[in-house]
Amino acid sequence: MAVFWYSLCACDVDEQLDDDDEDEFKPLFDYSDTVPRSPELLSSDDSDEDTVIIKSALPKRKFEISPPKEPLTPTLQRDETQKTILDDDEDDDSWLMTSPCKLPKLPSSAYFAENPILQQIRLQRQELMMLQQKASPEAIRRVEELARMQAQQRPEPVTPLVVKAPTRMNAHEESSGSESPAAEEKEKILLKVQNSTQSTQSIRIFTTDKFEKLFRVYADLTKLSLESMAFRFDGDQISPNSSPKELDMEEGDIIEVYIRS
Amino acid sequence: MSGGIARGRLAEERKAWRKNHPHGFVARPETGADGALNLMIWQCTLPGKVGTDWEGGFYPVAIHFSEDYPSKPPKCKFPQGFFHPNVYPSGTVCLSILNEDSGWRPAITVKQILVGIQELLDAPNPADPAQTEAYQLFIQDPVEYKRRVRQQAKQYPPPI
Repeated sequence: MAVFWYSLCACDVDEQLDDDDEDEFKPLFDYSDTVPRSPELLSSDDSDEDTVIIKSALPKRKFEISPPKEPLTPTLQRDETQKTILDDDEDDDSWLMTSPCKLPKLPSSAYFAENPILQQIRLQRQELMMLQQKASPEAIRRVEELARMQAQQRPEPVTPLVVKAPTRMNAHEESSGSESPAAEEKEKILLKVQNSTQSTQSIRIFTTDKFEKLFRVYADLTKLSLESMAFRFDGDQISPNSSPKELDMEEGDIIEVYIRS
Repeated sequence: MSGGIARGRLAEERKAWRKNHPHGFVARPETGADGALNLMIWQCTLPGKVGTDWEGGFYPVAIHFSEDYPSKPPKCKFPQGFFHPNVYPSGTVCLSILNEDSGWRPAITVKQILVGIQELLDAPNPADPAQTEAYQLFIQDPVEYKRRVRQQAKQYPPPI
């Protein structure tokens, strides 16, 4: 094969001059058939003449030195089929130089072609992750906004409950006794009556009620006589005729009871 | 700003006091002639501890808060000439928890101050006298000291 190839190579050189030799060797060298375009390249290179011949001679010697000729030819085929343009530019040198160079180049280019895609995908993933992370506080804010909106909206549905409350108030008032129709204005207040032993009795009365009512309730609870007790708020004695509202009492205020000895 | 902090704190103190305070104690901000509330001066009353010579007396104490309260302690004053070893002739109380360099902490409440002063009444600190008369009687003549305390309790009778 090497001999034939050498002869072929020689013939290729001569081929430019003699076409007959090729016809004889054609059946032996299928590679020439498989590489139909290489002679075209050579033929196209014919215009360059001297330079082409020199270049063509160099690869031929390299082919001779390098015994694996067959694997190279398929590479050539691949090169030719895939990238004829490059072969057109570099002539015969392209066979050797391109075959080792292009093989890595092709996959490398493929890798480069793939890597940016992967990089883009990764970047997109990172961006998506960042967006998700950024979106989380936004989502929290949205949730907060929704909560605020709901909180603002809640009073509206609560209003019917408030409307119900007066009905209950009215029910109590009706049960307790005849009260003025303007019962909605009345508010109840929880007051704590504390004695000297720090024990307290919590009593809830209307803010407009007179303390006399509270005193009686406390006397009933403690089973003590009203005459033996004195009630003070904030250092001042409480008149039975005054009301929590008059004394600006607040929910949970302490009334101190003193027992006359 | 410190005044704002002091007034905010005192408003909270007043609010808490109204909801919870020991029996017999009174603590309320001073009311000015125009009826406006002065949170910086509180007129208070603390009862003498039951079972002591101070029992039966309801002693008036004025608490003067500064703009630096609660970083700095308030000044607590009995009436001038109050008989107690740890009360200055001016009436100012000498107590560790009311000393900025000693026991004062901004977290101490008005209730804790008044209870602390109540404790001081029957447990004077002879190591830190503030007036000579009560201090000398406390050290030299306990019987006379006791009589003077009981006499003073009658000067501040219960509110009823």
